[in-house]
Amino acid sequence: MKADARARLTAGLEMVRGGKRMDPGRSGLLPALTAAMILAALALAGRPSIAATDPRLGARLDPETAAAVEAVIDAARDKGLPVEPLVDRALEGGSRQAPGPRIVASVRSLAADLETAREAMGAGSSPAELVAGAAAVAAGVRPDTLARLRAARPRESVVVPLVVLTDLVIRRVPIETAGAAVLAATRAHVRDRELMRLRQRIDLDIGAGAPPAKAAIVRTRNLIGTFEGPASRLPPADRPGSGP
Amino acid sequence: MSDGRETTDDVFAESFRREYRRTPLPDPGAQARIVAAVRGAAPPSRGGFRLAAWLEPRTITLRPVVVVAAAVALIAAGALLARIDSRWRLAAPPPPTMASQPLHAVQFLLVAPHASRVALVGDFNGWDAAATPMRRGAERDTWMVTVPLASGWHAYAFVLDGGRWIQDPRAPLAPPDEFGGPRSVVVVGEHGAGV
Amino acid sequence: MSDAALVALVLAGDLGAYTPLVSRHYPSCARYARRVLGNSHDAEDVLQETFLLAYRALGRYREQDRFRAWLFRILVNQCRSHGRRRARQARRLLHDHEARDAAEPRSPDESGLDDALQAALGSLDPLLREALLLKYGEGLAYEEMARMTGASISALKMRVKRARDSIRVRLEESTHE
Repeated sequence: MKADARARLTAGLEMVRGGKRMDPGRSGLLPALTAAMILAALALAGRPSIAATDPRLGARLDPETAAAVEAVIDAARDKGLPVEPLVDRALEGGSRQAPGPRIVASVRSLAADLETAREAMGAGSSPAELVAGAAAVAAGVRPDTLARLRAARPRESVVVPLVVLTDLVIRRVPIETAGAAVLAATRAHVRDRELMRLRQRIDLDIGAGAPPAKAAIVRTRNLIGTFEGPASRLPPADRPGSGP
Repeated sequence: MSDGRETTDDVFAESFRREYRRTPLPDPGAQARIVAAVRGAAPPSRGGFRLAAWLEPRTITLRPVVVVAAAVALIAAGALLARIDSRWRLAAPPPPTMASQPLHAVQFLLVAPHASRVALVGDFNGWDAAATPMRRGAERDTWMVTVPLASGWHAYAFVLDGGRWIQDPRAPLAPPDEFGGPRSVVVVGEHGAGV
Repeated sequence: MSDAALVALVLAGDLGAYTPLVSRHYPSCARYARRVLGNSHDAEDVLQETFLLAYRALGRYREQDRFRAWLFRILVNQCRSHGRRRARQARRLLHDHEARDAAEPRSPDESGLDDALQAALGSLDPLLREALLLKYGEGLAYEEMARMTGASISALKMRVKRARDSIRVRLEESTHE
């Protein structure tokens, strides 16, 4: 170590000692004792003293499951996927007292869906878009519908269109119809608030007994002026049979 | 992109990278000087104590009874921490990734006239039914709570009387995951301000 | 041991764990700094500032980010600040004859790089040089570069393309000599 660096190091230590007399011959009783007591306290608390794993996982899951989940998360992190949703999924499983293997499977499947969403929507997508996209994929929406949504709104967030689309699909609007409706509305520059209102109206109609497909078509048409359903809206390559 | 142009780009990339990798590094002492400078610096703000200070021999004068009392106090504190910590940890502050993002106050409402207690669970509180109890509004049927959330997509549900998990009847749904329970979605912030 | 694990160790109090982090990332940081600034004095200053700043800011590092990308963000900004300072100094020197005469000349042969690549890079606008080095030198993804520089991905692609077109011919001519 160079002389000036050594001087800097020594100066730093002087500041810490605050003027205490330095005596190399005697051992430091208090620091050693305190360190030992702290380690004992930590051992009592049953935690690792230096956490390389996410402490939230360690607290909620058994060690084996936590380790398996960490491995999935590490792999996802290396791919540049958002990690927080994976931790949340694991914590959800722990909170619902699900068996370890199911928790690991769920985290793995979310990681796969996030990757699918990213491939479809582009690596420039925000974490929220990827999470919303993963939910859509999990609900059965096809990746190229995600890609089309992205193309319809290249510079703005597509989270809300994805959320609306996913919701409609879960409520049994046929996937092609739901995709066509949300795409049509997005391409017609319907804003997020209006899209959410559209979703609500469709939901109310379905609750009142309307067939989901019809509710979606009618409400979308009311909103944007013309909409006949999937066949009329999708380019020829995607007519029914090949699907959105 | 034509093949010809792609090849030219590849050739360029290859020769650039080759030259770049051959960049001579500053003299070996430079790295050591950096390490030394860092050692002289104040430690990072989270949990900083000076390791060097603890290892360096020094003389301290203390009465033995003080040392024993300190040891006893520390053991007691450790045991107490062990009991408190497992309950409080999960209601702890939001995870590091969220701390630096702007938070939005989002209100959750549920009409549940027959429940005696309602809790909000979601990806923002580790789905912990003990973390975010809701309180009754002026209308006794209505339960509410306001929670700070980071921008983006959040899944949540309500837990009635400590047992039954239900979706938010007014919110969009997220697909059920492997754990089966209902999940509602709220979109916060730039993406739609609590839409 | 992963970067994130080393960071966790440092934050837990094992300050010596920062040394392997420095060793691991120093070569790529040093290469970038030298190429973007053009000489080793400035590079060394910037490298020291960068590793010190990173050290102090470790509490803000989030495990889901790649440490290298996080560190490079600091490095890129330090290089930019340094470049601006140097430009201001150069402008001041231009107007201050005495100072200019008194200032030590930075001889390129002593501390600067005089290879063909540097000659080509030196001819570029700083932002173009930065984008080219990050993309082709360090192999970073456009998304990471956007986060680092605050520029949009399309702007970065444009810069890389312009930089590449500008120096492509110069570089290929010189490497085939």
